[in-house]
Parts: sequence; C-alpha cells; structure tokens
Amino acid sequence: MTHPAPPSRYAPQPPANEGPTAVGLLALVLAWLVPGLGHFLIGQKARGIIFALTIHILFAAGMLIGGLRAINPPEQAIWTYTQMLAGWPMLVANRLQHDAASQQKNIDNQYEANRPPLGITAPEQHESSQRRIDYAAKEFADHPSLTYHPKVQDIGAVYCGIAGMLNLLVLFDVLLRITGSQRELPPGKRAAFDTDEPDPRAPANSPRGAA
Amino acid sequence: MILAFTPLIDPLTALFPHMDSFWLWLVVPLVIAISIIYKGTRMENLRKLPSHVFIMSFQILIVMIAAAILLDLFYSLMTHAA
Repeated sequence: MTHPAPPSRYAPQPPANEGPTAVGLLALVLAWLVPGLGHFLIGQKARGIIFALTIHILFAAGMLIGGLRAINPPEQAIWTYTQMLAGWPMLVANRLQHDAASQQKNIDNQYEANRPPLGITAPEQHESSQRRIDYAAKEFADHPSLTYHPKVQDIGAVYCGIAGMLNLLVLFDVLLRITGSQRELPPGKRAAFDTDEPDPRAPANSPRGAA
Repeated sequence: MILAFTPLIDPLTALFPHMDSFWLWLVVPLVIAISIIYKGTRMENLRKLPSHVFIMSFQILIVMIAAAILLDLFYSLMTHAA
C-alpha cells in the first residue's frame, strides 16, 4: 500500500488554466522596452509608476555621473549585457555612445597630436612640463570627456547595469502576474510580508493567522 | 573657468573633480533603488512600501559596513602576520 507524498511547500504551482492573455504577453515585451509599462498594462498602475520612476532615474543618474563612458564600459562587458536589460534608455544611450566613439577618438588623437613636446635638457623639460599642464587644463575644460576618474565613472556604469538587472526583476514579476503564479512563502509569512490581510494558511493560534 | 559640460554625455567629474573623494557615498542611492524595486515586487500592499524600503536599505548598508570592517580586520591580520 502506498501513501501519497505529502505536499511540498516548494511544489511548483499548477499552470494557469487559460495561460497568459495577449495583453499579458504584450505587457511582458513592453516591460523590457519601457521599464514599468508592463505593470501599467496589466492594471498595476501604482506599481508600474514606481518601477518606471526608479529604473529611469537610476539609469539617468548613472549617465549623469559617468557620462557616455558609463555605457559599454571598455573591458567590462558584463555591464554592457546588464545595461541592455534596461530597455529603451540603453538603446538610445548605446546609439549615442557608438556615435560619440569616433568623435571621441578624434578628440583623443587631436589632444595627443597638439600636445607640446617635452624638452631635451632639464630646464627645457621643466618649461615644457608647465606648458603641457596648461595645455591639458585648457583641453580638459573644452572637452570634459577627456577627463578620466575611474572610480566615479565605474559607479556610473554600475548604476546603469543595476537599472537593467532591476528591470529583469520587474520582468519576472510581470511574468508571475500574467501566468497567475503565486510565490511560495512559509505559512504565516505571507500576511506579514505582503499584505495586511490575515494568512489563511497560518495556524489558527498564530496572531497573524486566520481567526 | 566655464566648462563645456554636457549632462548625460560628459562625466560629472568634469564639474566636480573632487567627487573621487566621496565616491563610496554613491552606493547609498543604489541601495535605495534596489530596495524599492525588490520590495515593490514582493509586497501586494504598497502603502507600507516606504517603511519597508527604509528598513531593507538600512539592513543592506549595515551588512555592507560589517563586511567591510571584517575584511579590513582580515587584511590587517594578514599584513601583520606576513
């Protein structure tokens, strides 16, 4: 005689009867393209606005801090991949960064080509060093993109990358909602964590459980 | 001297060259944003979101500070031992 296995707390949920609707699938795609729009489309407007504001502000803050150097940071491809998850802000920024790359190369070349040469003798070297410092100060003022502050600019890249990863989290949340899936939480936790409603699965003597 | 600073194109360090000194503080807004999104996906009732975000941000920062202190202690021990 076999006994049925006890239900596991972590057993997968049965699939929703009807599956995601066309609006749900559209919401999933748009949730990537425009952070927060997915929730807006499935009726979670307040949540959508919060997500949209947070992710857009975070991405913009990353670009404000690091400038275009925050996008596609060289030798850190992982941030490029995560930034791509942010949707339209990254598509626009990526285009701008590619357009600006050749222009930046010209500025870099021009800077190198016009830099005063170093003198040969010691007094000449001293004088030419001062000329180089003055030249660099003027060029940096005219072309701020020549300046490089690795820590701050890395933080800019991290901001944009984290914005993308947070949008991935938002995407998964849209997916859960359009498929009608429920998160599995230990009994008694759901009421405390999610809502003010009593948890029907919690023990009856629990202060958070059903009466 | 007026800089040819273009927001979102040029780095902010062009305007504030000494940002390097307090770059670690830039972690705080990042932690708050992470908390907002995480709690926003987990909570059905958004009325309590601000307080939950505050608590989670605080927890993350405390754990990061604790980790930094532990790593610093470990580094000090290792360098003294060597």
